[in-house]
Amino acid sequence: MLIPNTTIWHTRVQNVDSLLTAAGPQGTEVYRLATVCQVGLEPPLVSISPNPEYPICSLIDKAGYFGLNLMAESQTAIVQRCYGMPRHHPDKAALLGLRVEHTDRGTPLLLECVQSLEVRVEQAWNSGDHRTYIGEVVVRQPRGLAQERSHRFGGRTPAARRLLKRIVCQSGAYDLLFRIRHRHRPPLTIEQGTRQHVPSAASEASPHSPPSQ
Amino acid sequence: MGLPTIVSPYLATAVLDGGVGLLTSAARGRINVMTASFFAESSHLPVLLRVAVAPGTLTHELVSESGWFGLSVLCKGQEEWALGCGSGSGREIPKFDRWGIDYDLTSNGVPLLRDALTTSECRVVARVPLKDHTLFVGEIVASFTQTRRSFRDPLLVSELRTYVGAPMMTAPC
Repeated sequence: MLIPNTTIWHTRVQNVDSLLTAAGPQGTEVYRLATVCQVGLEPPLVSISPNPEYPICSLIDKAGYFGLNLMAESQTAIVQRCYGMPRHHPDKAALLGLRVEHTDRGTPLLLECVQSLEVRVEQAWNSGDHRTYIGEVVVRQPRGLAQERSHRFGGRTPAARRLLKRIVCQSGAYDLLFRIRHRHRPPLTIEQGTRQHVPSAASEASPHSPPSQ
Repeated sequence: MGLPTIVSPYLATAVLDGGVGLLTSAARGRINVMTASFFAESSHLPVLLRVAVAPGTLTHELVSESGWFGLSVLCKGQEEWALGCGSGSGREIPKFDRWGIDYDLTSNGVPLLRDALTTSECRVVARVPLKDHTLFVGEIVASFTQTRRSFRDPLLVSELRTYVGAPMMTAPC
């Protein structure tokens, strides 16, 4: 049975977690990112969409470079701690206990992850309530965790929970629950449901303004 | 039906790990599905995602013409669809039929898959030409989860590589 998705997170387009890094005046800025994808093969281009309310965007705009660090399955604790960090802490890498190295252009890259990329920004524009960057990979450095699996968005589901969910889904109980629920309360649209989770963004969303049409 | 023996350049040379999906499109009575791994969320509000498509593909032509596309996220167990729809052109192969992929057309003419992990209908709100791809930014106007598959994790590029025995691309540059 197909059931309506009522938030953008239900679409499952967010798949793996990365940590975005940029050099700040007093340390290394870090931002957890699940909105990354490749957008070109030759040369390799990548795209990210961080929230411009965070200081990392102005640092990237100023430097013209950013670091993209793909996290490993075993690094859940670090990824989760990124949620609770004070937004304006001057050295988030130090706060998280992350070791970094700097490229020739001063871009900080994490030493412990699957791989680190240094990316040169080619285009940037505000897209809804996020800011989209397109950049070319100029440094690609595999790290010690290169043989590990990627860190899935939201972390790995525990085996017992997965088994329970499988039983509920395949038995039809999940479908029945949704039918009953939606009979009494029609599902929200994806825009309405997402808005409930990002109320502050709703009033501050900027118009979509890509560089070209 | 055998799987293609040629590994897509996307699988062979991708520098990032990420989800694998099927991009669907239709225009002027033509319909197509192709594998996509160059996609991500762009914005919460409005609800936007972006997907990069190579010019010259039938999908590029159909999305450009219709202004709509569907993006269906695949899960583990759907590797054959990912590999099958990622090789060969929709101009030569009726891929929905060849790979037995069921779909329904929305009122906007977008094919949405019945049996992917999730399937979303998107209206193109911007297109950005890049070096060897075009980035289509789409607003999600409707999206669905297949409950029979919802306990599964999305299929990743790295898992597809493992499935076909391709090496991981971890060489420094």
